[in-house]
Amino acid sequence: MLRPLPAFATLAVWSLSACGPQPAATPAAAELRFSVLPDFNKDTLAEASRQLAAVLGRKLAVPVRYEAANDYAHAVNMLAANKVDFVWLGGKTTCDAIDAGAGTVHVLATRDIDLHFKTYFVANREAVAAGKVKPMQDLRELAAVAKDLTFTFGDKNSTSGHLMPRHFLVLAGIDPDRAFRGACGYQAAGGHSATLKAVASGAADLGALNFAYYDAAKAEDKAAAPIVYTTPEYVDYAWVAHDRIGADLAARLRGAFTGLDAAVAEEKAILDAWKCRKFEPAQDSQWDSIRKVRDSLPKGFLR
Amino acid sequence: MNGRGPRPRRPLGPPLHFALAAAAVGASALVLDWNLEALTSAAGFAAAVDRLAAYLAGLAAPDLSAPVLQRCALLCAETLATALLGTALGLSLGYPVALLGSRCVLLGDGPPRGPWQLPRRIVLEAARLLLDALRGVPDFLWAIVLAFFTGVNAATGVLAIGVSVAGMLGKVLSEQWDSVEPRRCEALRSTGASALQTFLYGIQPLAARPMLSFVLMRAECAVRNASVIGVVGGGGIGAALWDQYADGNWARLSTVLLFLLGLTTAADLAANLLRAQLRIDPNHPLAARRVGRLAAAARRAGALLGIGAALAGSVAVLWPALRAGAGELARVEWAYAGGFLRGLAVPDLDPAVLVAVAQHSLVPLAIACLATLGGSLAAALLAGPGSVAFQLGAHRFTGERPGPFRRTGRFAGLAAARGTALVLRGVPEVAWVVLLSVFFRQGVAPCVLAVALHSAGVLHRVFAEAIDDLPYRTLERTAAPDRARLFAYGAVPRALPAWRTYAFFQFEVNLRIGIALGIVGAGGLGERFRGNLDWREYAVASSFLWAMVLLTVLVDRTSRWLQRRRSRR
Repeated sequence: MLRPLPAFATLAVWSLSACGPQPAATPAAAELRFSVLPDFNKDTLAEASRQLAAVLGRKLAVPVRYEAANDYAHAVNMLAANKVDFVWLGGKTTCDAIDAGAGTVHVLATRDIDLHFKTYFVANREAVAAGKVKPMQDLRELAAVAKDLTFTFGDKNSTSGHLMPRHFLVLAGIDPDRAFRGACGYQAAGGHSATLKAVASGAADLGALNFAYYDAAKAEDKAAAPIVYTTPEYVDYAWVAHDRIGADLAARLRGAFTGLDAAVAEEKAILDAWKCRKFEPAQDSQWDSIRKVRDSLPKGFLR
Repeated sequence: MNGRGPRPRRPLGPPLHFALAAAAVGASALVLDWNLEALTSAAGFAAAVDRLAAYLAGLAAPDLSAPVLQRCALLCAETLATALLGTALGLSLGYPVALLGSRCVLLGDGPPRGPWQLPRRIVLEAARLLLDALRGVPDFLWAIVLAFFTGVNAATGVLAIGVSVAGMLGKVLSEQWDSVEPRRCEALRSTGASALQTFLYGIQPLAARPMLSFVLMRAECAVRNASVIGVVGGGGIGAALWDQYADGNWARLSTVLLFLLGLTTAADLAANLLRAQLRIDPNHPLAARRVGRLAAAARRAGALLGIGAALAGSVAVLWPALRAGAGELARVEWAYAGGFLRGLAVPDLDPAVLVAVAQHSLVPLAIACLATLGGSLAAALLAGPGSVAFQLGAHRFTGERPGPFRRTGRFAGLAAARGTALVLRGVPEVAWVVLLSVFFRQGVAPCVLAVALHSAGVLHRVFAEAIDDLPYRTLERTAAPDRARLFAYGAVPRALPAWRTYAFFQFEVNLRIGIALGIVGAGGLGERFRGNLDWREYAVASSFLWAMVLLTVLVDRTSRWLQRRRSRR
């Protein structure tokens, strides 16, 4: 039934392009387009991304344009479908993009914090006060109290908000789809800020989120949702580029990222928005461990 | 059935229908995973009321700073323009397919005429399947697929809305053409007119008014749908709504809601005003007065100019996006897009997956059942107070002479009923979900209630219109001691067939919304499909996708069958 689709899309697209004067086709290198995965408040991300576009444009002497992504998978698809040239992705989506690109997509750089990334399990203050959950060193301690707690992951496609916390729960012998009170929740929009809000407001007793966003959150939110568990370290976010920009521009782009300097006020603003002190060069193989977790995770939550 | 004369009809349908409805409600309630903490315990209720109070207090102080207002106004303009262009595109795509999917155009009326009709039958079924696929594939998937070609901009939104509107209009137009009484075209046929000629000079003019009325209603619904699509990835004001909710920014959420309500209400009232001109019975006291030939031509020219201006304005608003979309065509990664589509076309037929698909399909079905029945009931209860005929024009067929006091009271009741319905449908399902999720928390309960409330608003309008469109002379002949009983025993039974048609159509709409709402907490088919899509499990995603198309086909064929059975009776 999907057969008529490409034909139809072409038709629709022809009729659309016939409407107006044909804009000149831009060669790929005349302009760089990028996106970032929407793991946080979209307005905040857009603002930081526009700043980044300005700085990169100046450093590379090429116009750089930011395109907002609707969701995580969209960011991956945009890169593979030639709608953007490079993109800021999470650990799982970095592997997805490398796989989708089939040899044409490579990691450029990562943050200093991403090679030692963590997930926090945070609990609602009142649930902690009521003794329903207490800070723990070993996630296995959660098994005994899980039945009384509602739990939320972040976005289903998030590494620090879903993939890794689920992985560590499974390792601790806890099936997140059955162990908690009710079905475990996900945040369909808003990413980690939504998870924190959900736990702080009591909409969920327990939640798993990105440690960097938590550390940078408002004190009142943190007080309302204290940390009860910190996961072991893993690899997370990366800047990923498609080969179509050419080896030369890719190398310069990598240099532009790793050259962002906290001593320059304008560049510090960007590093602050990305919650790091600097970007480091990185290779695809560093994300192999995440791919292994992604592929070996029991997929019951998709059935 | 022949030779027995007209069957005596009970005012509320045979008891079997009630039993079926009750069974559907019971089964639906059992299937869903309810989150009713807010209602089942006193503490839960108190906490829910607290949450709602805090939320409403936040909503009471909208963020009216200039940049926020500017952004909301821009988003509204974009949403409106996207909806208008999408509907125009949908109409031009859907009309020709509707011709091929219409029984009376392709096969003519009357009993099947033998095997030489087989090729035509195949075309008919293929056209209907195409329409079902256009509707059954969720809008957000269209948006994802089309974005491979036209990129991330409003051009993709226009195309995505166009495709689903084409599916919707194609279905309804072909059904409207097929439900034109065959006898009304007999004069044409007896002079040897071909099926196409019969259509052009008989069926199409006869069905033109309800058709135009429906197209207008769809255009207005597209405005609302544009906001639902926003949540699942289409951008526009709907995306802003969900983002502000996820962020817990009540003040801005309030601003977005106000703009959204303003937009949908304006679209609603404008469409209603136009549709009032298209009343079916020219002798109806509420119908537009007969106008002279010149005035009619002037009116027609004005309407055309208005439509042209609206479309031109929409193109102007979206011009940068349309240009960008056309520019993206120069760099389509055909291999990737093709691979994605091939992956989605071939389902995983593993028995475990099929069982999961069947289980999760029950969720949107159950939501649609409960919400449509609940919404129909509420709409029917509001239909009396919301009927112009019964509140303002009753003296024309009851002979009563209400005093000024009573007349004012009735007018106030009418305004209250219509106003309530206007708000119920003006707030899109997603906004209801947002509001109710504060009370119930995310889950099934807010979704079911949201769809029911919205359906009540949508159905109330068409239910009340069906009552108002009844010729007063038929009501005059009904002996009833008072208005209430005249309504219950005189008007409702006559409007019931129309009500049933609308409710069935709303069921199909709600089924799709139930799928889309899966992503924002209802779970089920939509949520699993999206999850598998995101996790690049394309074969499993495909199984869920086929299930959606199959559900649409099933509902469509059932409704066509019911309509044919009824018209043959």
